[in-house]
Amino acid sequence: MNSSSAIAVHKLSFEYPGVKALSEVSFSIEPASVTALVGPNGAGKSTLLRCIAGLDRPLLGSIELAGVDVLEQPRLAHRRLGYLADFYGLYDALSVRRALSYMAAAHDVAERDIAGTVERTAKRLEIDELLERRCGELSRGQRQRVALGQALVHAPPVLLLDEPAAGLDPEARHALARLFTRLHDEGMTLLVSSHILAELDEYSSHMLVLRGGQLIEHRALAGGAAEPVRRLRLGFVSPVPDLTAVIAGMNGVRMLENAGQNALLELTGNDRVQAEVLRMLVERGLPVTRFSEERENLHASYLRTVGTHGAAP
Amino acid sequence: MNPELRRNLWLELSAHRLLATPALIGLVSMLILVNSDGRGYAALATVAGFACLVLLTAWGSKMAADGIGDEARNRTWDAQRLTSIGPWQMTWGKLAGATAFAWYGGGLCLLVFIAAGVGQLPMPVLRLAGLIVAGSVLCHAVAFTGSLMAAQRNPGTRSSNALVWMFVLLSVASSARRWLAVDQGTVAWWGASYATVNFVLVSAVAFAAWAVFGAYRSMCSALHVPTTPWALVVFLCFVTVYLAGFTSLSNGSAAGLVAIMGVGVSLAACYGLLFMEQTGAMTLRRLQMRLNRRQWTRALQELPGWPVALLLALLFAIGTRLASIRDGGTWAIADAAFVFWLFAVRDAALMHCFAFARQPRRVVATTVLYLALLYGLLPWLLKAFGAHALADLLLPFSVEYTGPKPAAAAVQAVVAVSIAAWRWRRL
Repeated sequence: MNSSSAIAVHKLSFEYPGVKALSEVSFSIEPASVTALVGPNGAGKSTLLRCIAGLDRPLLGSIELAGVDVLEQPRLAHRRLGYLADFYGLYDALSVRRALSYMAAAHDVAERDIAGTVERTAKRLEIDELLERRCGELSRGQRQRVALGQALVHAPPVLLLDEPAAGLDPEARHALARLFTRLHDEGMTLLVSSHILAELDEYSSHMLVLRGGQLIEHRALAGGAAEPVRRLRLGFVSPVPDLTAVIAGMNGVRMLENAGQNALLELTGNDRVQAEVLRMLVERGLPVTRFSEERENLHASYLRTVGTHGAAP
Repeated sequence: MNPELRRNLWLELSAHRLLATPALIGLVSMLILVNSDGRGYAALATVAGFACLVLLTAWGSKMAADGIGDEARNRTWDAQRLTSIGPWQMTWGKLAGATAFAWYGGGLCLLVFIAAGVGQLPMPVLRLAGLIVAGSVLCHAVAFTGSLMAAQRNPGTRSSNALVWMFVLLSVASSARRWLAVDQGTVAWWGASYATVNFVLVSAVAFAAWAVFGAYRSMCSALHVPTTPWALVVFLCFVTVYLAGFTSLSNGSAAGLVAIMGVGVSLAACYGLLFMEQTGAMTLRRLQMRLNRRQWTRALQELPGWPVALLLALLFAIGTRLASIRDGGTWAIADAAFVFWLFAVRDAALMHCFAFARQPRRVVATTVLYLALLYGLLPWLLKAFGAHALADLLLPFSVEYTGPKPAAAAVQAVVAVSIAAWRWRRL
């Protein structure tokens, strides 16, 4: 298990009577990444999140969260974790300020720091004007933000989110996506489960695909910050007959599609390698009109992965 | 300050409640004093004592149970389990916090009881007040633990609170009865004589402490903080020795009495835990995995309470037999201990036959139904057809525990265990 991982899961198995919800799932998630946890209904996404959070005990396997063994020291692990469940509750009779203060104190935030922490969290989630209102009086979107505030109030390095945008209107979803991007930029590690792939696409750097309780794929998304593999879309004035041969002669480049005036390449390397490829194409006299990095959207990536691995077991 | 306690105080002790409660109690007290036809303070103390029992003991127990039940129903329990609050902090924060208003109102009534009762009632008022406090802590902790176990077993349901409520009502009724008679007489315990009020008070304090500790251990389980079952063994031994102290020593040795009492206590605990705690296929599957990997400590941490109680009952049954041999083999009850143990094995296996379904539903209710058939309807029918000997083999109670009785019990246990094992393999 990699101790520098934000989340490290090793051979995790979980069963309901007669059903293997998770079957020897292993992966590790690097710090400061946003991982989209995707898969069909019943794939085991929520079970996986609940096991990582220490809410459900797995049958077998181990889970480390920011270096802490979740099964051995669940209370310590919880200091390093924020979790927003798909179905969550709030203390309707408490004001938002008190709800956040309670969660801050419950996560060992020092007494003298609680008021400031609550103000900062409220501002970050744009709920500072709601602080004196009771949770029971809030709209669904506002409640979602308060619940997220409760999960974030102790500034955990890891945040788990199970269907965070379910039931939110488009505006609230967009605001949530902006917030996740901001959290990612601040160095937080996010593991987000959602059915709405377009929404995950806005901020995910990695994709983890579960199907029938098994890990199908875990990889960086093309174009993601940490990804050394990128996809390049090329355009030409006219079809290039020997394009395949030209590309085959280049190191670290692979042809994915060749449609005459258009081509899609897969390049392994950094910006310097990309610039070198462009230079070689121009030097060989190819009539290049387009040379741009193409980010595969999550939907396409997911479908490609599922297509590769066939039907669900 | 304990964050869980503070949150509960925010919810339970509003300014309105803080002001209105003493005002109401004051007005009712004045009304009683004015209309008591000369009995004055004695009447006030009596009413205040009963009000304290109702408010502190009964209402407080409901609040303690709701402290967990409401969290589970309102989906805030998972968020609480995800905090860094430790099991002990969570336990006392909830126990004291959820019952804060009951303690406030009940405490005021208790003050009135003491102030009006000392010198006016023909009973030791201060010790009775202590008994009410200890009894209330005991009831709160038991109701809390029952609710916690129910929340773990059936998240989001209210039905299992019926058992908790039954206990609370019985406790209150028992407390009220004792409250009236506690000043009279003595209690004989392990050959010594104690004033009833003192004995009951010390017993209540001891069991209240055990109940709070039990609530803490249940909270450890709910928060997935690993523990081994030593506390259950120590508690069952404590109850065994405590109850054995009330029995007569003339029928056998003290060790024999403790052993036979241990069988009864352990089997009662086994049945209670079987129906209350989280058990079933997944719990036993985790246990099996730990055993297969020779992870002995982890296996002990995964072990439910009922097999521990069942094993302890077997050890006590062996102790009973050894004591019987030492006393000349005159104890029929030594044979009975094994028969009762075998019936408990049968019943535990029967329950797991239902628990090992692919989608187990209403396991406890189904088990209770089948136990009612086995212990009631079937023997009754057999007796109606004149098959008295056969009916007797289906029941653990008998006048004769030798001959076919133990063999019949063993056959029933083996059949039930075999069916459960078959169901387990098919999972």
